[in-house]
Amino acid sequence: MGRRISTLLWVKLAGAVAVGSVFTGGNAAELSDAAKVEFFDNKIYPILKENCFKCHGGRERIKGEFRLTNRSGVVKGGESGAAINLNKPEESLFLAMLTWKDENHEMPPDEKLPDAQLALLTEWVKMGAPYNPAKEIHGKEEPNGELATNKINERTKNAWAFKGAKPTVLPEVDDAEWRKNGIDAFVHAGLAKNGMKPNGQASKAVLIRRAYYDITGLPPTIEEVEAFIADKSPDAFEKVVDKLLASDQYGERWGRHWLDLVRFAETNGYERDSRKDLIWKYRDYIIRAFNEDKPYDRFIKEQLAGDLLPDRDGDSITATGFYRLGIWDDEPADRELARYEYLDDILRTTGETFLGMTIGCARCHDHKIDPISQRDYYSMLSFFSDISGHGKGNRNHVAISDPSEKAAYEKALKEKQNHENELQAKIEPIEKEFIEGLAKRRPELKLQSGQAKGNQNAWVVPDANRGKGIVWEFTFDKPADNWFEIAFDDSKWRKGRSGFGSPGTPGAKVRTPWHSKEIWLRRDFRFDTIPAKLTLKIHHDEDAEVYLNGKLIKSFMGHRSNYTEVDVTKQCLDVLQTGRNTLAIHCKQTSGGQYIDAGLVVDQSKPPVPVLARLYGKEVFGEAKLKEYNQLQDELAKIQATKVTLKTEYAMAVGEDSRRKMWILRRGMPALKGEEVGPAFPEILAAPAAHVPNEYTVDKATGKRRVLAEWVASPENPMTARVMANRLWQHHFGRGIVRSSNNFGFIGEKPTHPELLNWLANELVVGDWKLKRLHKLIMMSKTYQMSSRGNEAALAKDPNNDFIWRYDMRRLSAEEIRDSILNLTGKLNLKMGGPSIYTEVPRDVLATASRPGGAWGNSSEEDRNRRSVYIFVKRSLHEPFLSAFDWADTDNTCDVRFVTTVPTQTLTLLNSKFLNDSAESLAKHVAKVAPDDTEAQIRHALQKATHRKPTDVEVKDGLELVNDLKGKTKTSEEDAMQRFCLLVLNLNEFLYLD
Amino acid sequence: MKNNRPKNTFCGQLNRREYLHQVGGGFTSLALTGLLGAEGFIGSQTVAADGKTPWQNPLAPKDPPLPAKAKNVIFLFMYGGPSHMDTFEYKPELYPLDGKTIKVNTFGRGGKKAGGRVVGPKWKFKQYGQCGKHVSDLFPNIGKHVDKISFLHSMTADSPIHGSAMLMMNSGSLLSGRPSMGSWVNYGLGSDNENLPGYVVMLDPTGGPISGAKNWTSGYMPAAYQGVVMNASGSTPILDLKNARNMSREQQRMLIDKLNKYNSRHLSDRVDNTALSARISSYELAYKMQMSAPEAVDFDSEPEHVQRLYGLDQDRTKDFGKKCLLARRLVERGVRFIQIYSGGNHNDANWDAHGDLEKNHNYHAGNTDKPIAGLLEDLQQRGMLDETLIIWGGEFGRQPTAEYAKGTGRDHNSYGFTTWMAGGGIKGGVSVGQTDELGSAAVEKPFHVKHMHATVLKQLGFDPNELSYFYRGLEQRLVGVEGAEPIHEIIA
Repeated sequence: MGRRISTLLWVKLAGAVAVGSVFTGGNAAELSDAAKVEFFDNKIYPILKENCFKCHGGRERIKGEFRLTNRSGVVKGGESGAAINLNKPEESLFLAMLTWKDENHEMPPDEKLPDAQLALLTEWVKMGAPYNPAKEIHGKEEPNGELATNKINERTKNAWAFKGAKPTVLPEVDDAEWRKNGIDAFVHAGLAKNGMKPNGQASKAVLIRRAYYDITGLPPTIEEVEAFIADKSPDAFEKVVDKLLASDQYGERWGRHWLDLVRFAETNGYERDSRKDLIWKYRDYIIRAFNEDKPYDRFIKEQLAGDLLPDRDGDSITATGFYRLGIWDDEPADRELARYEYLDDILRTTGETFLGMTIGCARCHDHKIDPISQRDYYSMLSFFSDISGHGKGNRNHVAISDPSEKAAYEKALKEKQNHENELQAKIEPIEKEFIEGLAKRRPELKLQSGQAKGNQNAWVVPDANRGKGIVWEFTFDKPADNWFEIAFDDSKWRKGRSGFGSPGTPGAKVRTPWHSKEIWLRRDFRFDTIPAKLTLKIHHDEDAEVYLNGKLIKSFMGHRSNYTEVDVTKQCLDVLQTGRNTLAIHCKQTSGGQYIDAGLVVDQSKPPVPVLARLYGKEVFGEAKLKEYNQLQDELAKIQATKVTLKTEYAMAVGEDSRRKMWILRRGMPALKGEEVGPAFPEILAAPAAHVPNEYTVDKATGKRRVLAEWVASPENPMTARVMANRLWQHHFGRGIVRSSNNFGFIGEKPTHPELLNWLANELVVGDWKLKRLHKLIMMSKTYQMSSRGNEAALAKDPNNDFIWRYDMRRLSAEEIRDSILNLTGKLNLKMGGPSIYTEVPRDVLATASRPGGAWGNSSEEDRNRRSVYIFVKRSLHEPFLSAFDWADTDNTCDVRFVTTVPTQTLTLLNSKFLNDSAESLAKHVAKVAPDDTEAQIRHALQKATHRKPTDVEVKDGLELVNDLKGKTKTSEEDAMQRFCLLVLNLNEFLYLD
Repeated sequence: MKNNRPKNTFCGQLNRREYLHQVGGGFTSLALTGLLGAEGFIGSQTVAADGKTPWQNPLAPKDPPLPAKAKNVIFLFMYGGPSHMDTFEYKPELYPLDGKTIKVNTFGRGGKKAGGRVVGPKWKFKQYGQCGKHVSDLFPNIGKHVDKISFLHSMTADSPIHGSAMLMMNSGSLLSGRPSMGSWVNYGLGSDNENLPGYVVMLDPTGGPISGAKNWTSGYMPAAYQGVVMNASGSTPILDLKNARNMSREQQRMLIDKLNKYNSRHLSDRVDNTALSARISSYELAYKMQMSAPEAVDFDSEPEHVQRLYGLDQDRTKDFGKKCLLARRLVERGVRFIQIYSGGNHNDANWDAHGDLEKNHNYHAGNTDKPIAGLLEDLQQRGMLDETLIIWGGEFGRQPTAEYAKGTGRDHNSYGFTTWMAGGGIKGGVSVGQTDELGSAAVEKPFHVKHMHATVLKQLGFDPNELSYFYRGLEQRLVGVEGAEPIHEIIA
């Protein structure tokens, strides 16, 4: 037996040993194979078994795809690459990991092996890692010999999702009525094949309610229902559908479905969850695009590459806000990793939203289920590699109107600043003279001229006029993007005393010469307590930007010949912190001399000169000079009051700032860069190579995102049209033909009606990618118009309605519930677009934020009554009403919302202020319709909520409640009706659609 | 979960439908209809994220797959990052270095530094208990309970920045959008009391921690698993528990009874729709919750000596004391996971001592020492400590060196810090791991946040590497895809 093993082993090891003996030259390699097996059995196997097998072979789940229980696994390695380097054994990754040489690769993870064991393992590797075949454990073979789903092979190439939609032929259907519309033919044929029949038509009252909610997210009025029921013409429903699709509310409803997919939110989600100014314009773009029936292929191209299209415009640039929607960490612990997280989030969302592919799963290793390799992932990621970083304030703002307007604005702003500076220069000497004069005349006022009141400690950052100036960190070379953040490492910068400028600058103390165009300065200071007031003193020549703790607090333009004082308390309030703070300044000049110095003063009060002048001006100056002074002040006030408005509009959009390489990152770690890759499409989709033509270049951008956009939006792309057609179906029927609408891969659900999906996708493409046409096609089908009622036979056969024998009931979405309540009470404000609004949020909810006062805003009542799609989306504080009704997660793409029923939701509907106020409004509304007639009021309230005439029993029940409340609990008529209206808003019939 | 794992699926993965059936107990919607009338069925129901598959009540109580030591968890979250060398990790060699400039690698909000001025520990340490554990004078009361506690002195985290570090401590990931630990526990075990939330969060009076609700989010899981904020001091402990128009219970009863009539009529020809009946029963549950929740915060029913034990008789400790007492009362009532924040808002409103370390830590420790000791003692006396797992700690620790030229403030430190655990099958009087002599980084047996998470799950009866939730094509875990082992050294 022993001989046999060694013979086998010899065959396996022959190559390795031959090589090994040349390179290692050690004794180990010269051992006989039997001795090697013995060495393995006695010395190595126990170490492996004790320390490694638990994760690498002994259990079903193998970590890192690295199996140590047989030799081929050892040699092959895992997802980090080959474990053993047979040519240079000392450089083997296996040994590098065991010796903890690389902080990303420390094995075993809990504790390093003792040196003696490491020496044995090193010797073993040098031998060529001999194994005892008798001890080998192999993994399970693929079940039934099936081909793997995560490799490119005949099985995956022929998978329904990846092989693309073939032209489909309508099936034969014997019922003529079910032959007219292609949808009906497929559905009917499917039912017939399973011996089932479709439900009959829903009633007209049910149908119109269904159609209104599906298209607009709002209910019809009583009059609209009655008119539809009265309209006996054959195209009565078609007229309703056309009207709804043409309404503005269509875009608000269907735009919201899209916003779920792209995880739309208006804050970055980390730290203080800062606002993303202007990102609401993306939301308006989406709503507009749906309302205009923008072809879906164009819609894709605008979002992925709207800034690169030959016919780009404001709209298409706004669309690229798509790239700025995700979460980002303002203060990441690892900046490079955070950059990849940002890009990963974009790729994941792009893959799932447009392609129904979980490309993101191939970040650390090849996809475990689908045929998407790590190479595919990084090749796709490479399309996005040049995107500029996310940032605060206006950093990601891009002009979406004529650039000449921006130039005109900047010119006007500069003129205004210069004018102000000139006036200040005239006013200051007068004030100085006045204060000095006044101090002499009225010593009891204890005035000091030209200096801060209070003690020296008020200067947290002294300016150059205090003592010998202070030391700043500075650089003349453009630093990294995050140079103004607290955590930025400025240890490589130079140090110099303030101020900075060309020596001899009049009226300025220059201690550190500065001759170049630009300078960046940083200075740390500390607070033991947060100051009440903070004043910035700055002397700038010319334009300066001042940051505190990473936030841009003030920009200055032009030059001044003296210090200017600005109260920056408000701007700094949200970033001030105890302990270390960082003031950072960027100053640049265009011509002439240059100078920069700044100081920070806390709680310092300046003598209020204009007030003093009013009181003592005549006494000190005499009338003439006072008049001159007042005129100057008036002029200054006038200038300050004039607003230079920017005609240029901006949007938060994508930008590219430099060309960056991309590599395959082993285990997804930026430190483990593997092979370099360029833009390419996933191999399984058999796409042509991603070639970026020269003429696609726009400014700094290569245009590669345009190549991606064109491929995604191409009719030849096997995924795109079907993914979108499926989404349309999903939001009309409550579920997709593929239920996992973001995932068409092997772990996703299979389509219930694959042929129908292909047919719909084809209809989408041949209809020039217009969505409204497809909506109408769906809504005019008998399938859409079926009743939702159950019947025993069908329920027994197909309880999940997979064959679509009925229309599925659905609960209204969070937005539909809130908007319907507002609508019912007559308060709904249909104003469209613009910055988001804030609803009234209970104090208990605001208290959950780390800055309870600053987390949420206020809107007028009129604005609060606008549609839910316009409510501000704050990642760390979801609007509580929407959140209670399963609102979409805003951190990840959300393809299907949950529908939960929990007691806390019921508490909201019974007890919240919003519901109770709304119930009162509804009560008042029906009281106006039928004054002094409780029964008619009840009837009206019920009809408004359910869109049908209530039965007598229902009215009687309502009356009974009102009378009981009044009689047994001594409630007023008004309060009793308020309670009844609250009941109406809690009806299942109000919250569910048939 | 483990026992139900199918063996023949690719890569050990479940497909979506198998998964849903497994979670839902394999019931079809028809089977569910039959169950609805049965007693004990909690009237909440979720439709899974495919928009269709009916899912049994997500909070129905479930048995843990493995023997469990703990049934409930109370996580005392010292938000802001308490200094380990000033609280529970005695560093005698650090005192004489006070004021000296030394070389040491640190990483905090001020970035990476290679050295700085040492701030010696500002409090004396005394030995307590049979184990002789050194505890600083900040915690004279907790000190008396060291024999119940396991100290983890070598904790590490991946970020020294509040926002992401909080997410990591709560959800195991620096990335936003993951479910928090309480959500995982409710997902895995359900709730034993249908009249109270299964996962309760209590916040500091100054506000929530940074990122607010993200710290108790259910992430990609249904909202049924998210933490419910409870107010220990107000008259409405849960949002909307009280009617905004002060509707009396009698009126509400009349309203609900009548509403049931309307909704039952509506149901009569839609009986196959289980969601409708679930909504009907949810009104009864809401009605009951309105009784149960105020009853839980009714501290007057506690004898005076118990109130004193938690420090309810002193202004300083009253707020945190109430929260600790409420935590015990909630545990008694079957609430699975309770998290209490010490500190909120920003700067010195929490343990984030960048300015004056002494002032900051004296304040926060002084507010919490007595209540926490009271909680440990009370649980012990009632025999509840065995099954209640207590966790104490922040999102990271602090640096041995000063953040700035003057003052005692310390910057953040995720290279090494202390978390302690007690009860729920955790050993007492044990200290595991340590940081270097300066307290700058874990050097002996370094543990990661996920090891602590794994330990919690293990004590609750899970194999932490098997408790998973299918999302985005992956079996997601609290301890991450790579997995993590529990800290065996502290498990009794």
